[in-house]
Amino acid sequence: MKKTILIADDNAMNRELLGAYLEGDYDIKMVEDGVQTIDYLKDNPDTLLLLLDLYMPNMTGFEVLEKIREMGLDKTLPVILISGDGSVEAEEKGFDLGATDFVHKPFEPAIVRKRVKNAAELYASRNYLEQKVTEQTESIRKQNGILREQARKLRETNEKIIDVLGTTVEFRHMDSFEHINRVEAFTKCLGEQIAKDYGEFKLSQEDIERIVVASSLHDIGKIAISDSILLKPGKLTKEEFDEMKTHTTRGCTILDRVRGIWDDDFGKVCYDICRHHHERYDGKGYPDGLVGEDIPIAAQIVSVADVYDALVCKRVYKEAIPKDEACRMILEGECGCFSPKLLDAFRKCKDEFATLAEKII
Amino acid sequence: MNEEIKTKLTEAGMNVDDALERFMNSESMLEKFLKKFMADPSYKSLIDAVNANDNDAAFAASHTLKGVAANFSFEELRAKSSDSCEEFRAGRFESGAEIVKGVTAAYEKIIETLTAIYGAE
Repeated sequence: MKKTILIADDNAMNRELLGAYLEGDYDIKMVEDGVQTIDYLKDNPDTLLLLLDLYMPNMTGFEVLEKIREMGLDKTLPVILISGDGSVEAEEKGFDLGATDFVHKPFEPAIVRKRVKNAAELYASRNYLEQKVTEQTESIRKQNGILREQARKLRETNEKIIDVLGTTVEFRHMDSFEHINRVEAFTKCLGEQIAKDYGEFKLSQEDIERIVVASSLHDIGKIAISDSILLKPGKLTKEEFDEMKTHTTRGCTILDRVRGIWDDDFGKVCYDICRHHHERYDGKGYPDGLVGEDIPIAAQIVSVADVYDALVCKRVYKEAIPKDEACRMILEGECGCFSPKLLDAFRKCKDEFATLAEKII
Repeated sequence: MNEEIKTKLTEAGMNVDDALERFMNSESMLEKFLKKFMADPSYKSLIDAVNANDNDAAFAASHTLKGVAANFSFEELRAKSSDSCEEFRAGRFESGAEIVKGVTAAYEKIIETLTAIYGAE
């Protein structure tokens, strides 16, 4: 389909001469003054191009340009002004008001055709690109919205799963809600100290948050241990203790079932903590006997927090130990074996640990 | 358009080669528009404006006539229209009106020639 060019000039011969130059390549419509021009454009906003005379009765070309801008058509409709005298002032004013180009009298057919073609093509490609950009921006905006919504749902799912698992642990009375809260608080405190003093672990604030949330699941495997062992008031036999040790690997079996739902980073932290929070720095821990820094830092942090809480709280099999004594035992290696860096950080945090232990009872 | 007509048009003040170029080297198109020129109201508007002592209307009409004359390469008509147009633009009505006499002379010479060639419109 040919596109329409509107020629607005009060002089019939000018209109027809311009029309004669352009017919064949375009559909030509003609109007005689500014008011007719605006009326036509209102009905035909998809007009390809306007050839506009500056001096017309009723409304001058300048006024028409202003109207076009008010109508918001200036972005999509190229306007070529028909200039009689090449007055620099008039042309400047025309450009300021949004004209695309000029043609001068006397007309040169080749020049008129070329300028019309250039302006029409320029605007067509600009309109096309702007349309594309608008479409793509909209599509990106929508996709971002979907991603944000998915991330929110995922976070919600994570929290719900942790909640369900945590509640399960609570129901079995193995670990109280308070124990979980305290371990979380100690983990946060120790994690921040490590991040501050030992940059080599590259712990970001986000990593610490993740470790804190995951710490609540460190003993999830205990729900698979029988009551007779779990709730036994006295010392465990070797067989019973061996059974008890399997809470680390059984916990991992449980986590494996839900890992597909979590994002990989979070799943790995949960897994590391659950499996390795009973490893020892000297390699004599369980279940894998990992040595030194082979033990994931998340598990190292949680194991200190867990041991400290076990010591200072009353358990079915033991009385509470005073906090100073608990610190001494940990620092002197009587309860487990930790990395020198962890112990250094723990020493710096021990007063805060004591305060937290008092606060969360 | 034969050579005789071309000569007459040249005598009436037209640069024929220039004009033909403007009409895409189509003699029939040039002739079609020359007939339209005979009916073009710009000149009459100019005379009416001068008779009415209306400087603005005289400016507008001389401006249009200058453009029309330029398109046909009526050199004398274009030059006189342009000179009067500049006077009216500057608000010098009397001086503009004086130059319009030259416009009339050039215009009448053209119309006389065109009428002789194409008959009265």
